[in-house]
Amino acid sequence: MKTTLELPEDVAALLRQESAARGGRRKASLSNLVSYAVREVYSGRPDAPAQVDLKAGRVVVKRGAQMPAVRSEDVAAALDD
Amino acid sequence: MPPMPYALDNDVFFAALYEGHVAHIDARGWLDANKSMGWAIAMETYLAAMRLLMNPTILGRGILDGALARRAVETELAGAHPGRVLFSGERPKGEMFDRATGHRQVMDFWLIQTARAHGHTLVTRDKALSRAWPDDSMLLP
Repeated sequence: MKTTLELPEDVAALLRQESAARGGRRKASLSNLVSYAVREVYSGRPDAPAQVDLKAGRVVVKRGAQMPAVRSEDVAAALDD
Repeated sequence: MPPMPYALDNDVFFAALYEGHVAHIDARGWLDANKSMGWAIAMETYLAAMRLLMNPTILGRGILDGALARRAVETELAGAHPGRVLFSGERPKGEMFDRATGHRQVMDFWLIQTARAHGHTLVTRDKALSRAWPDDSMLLP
């Protein structure tokens, strides 16, 4: 979803500071940082864990309705925290 | 000379496990087709998979608890072509790590060193890593 946010200057400064600390906007865009923060605060505990198909030698964690699509960059950033 | 078995990097292994990873279909398909060649993950990759499966930034409201995350990894390692978990008692080698120019390369280089020490080829989707270590890695789309 594309939208426009009006942020207080201190919040904007924190976002810029965090982005710079993580290697700049190409590695940690403001959109990604806002998404991360919103998930951390508002996602809460899961109602139920993801459905996991546990077949020996072939496991698939199913993507439910409230589970994001993930790119390699997201994986790298999460492991970097 | 028989082909070398494969070791999966963190991203490829997680992509095979999680349906929501953009590379899931490719990674899952590749792993299913190549397990019979012999395969492994480093202990660091085992732990990375658990961390990712328990991280709300990655799995949103579907995060697993520790018991289920560990069971998912163990179950993937089981089956007709079980995967090994590679440990390394070595320290980082200067011939490799002195080439690192950024902090994110450290774990990548460690996985290369661990795979090499066990005679495995590291499977990755990271083009830069594959370019840096062409003889030790294989690039997936």
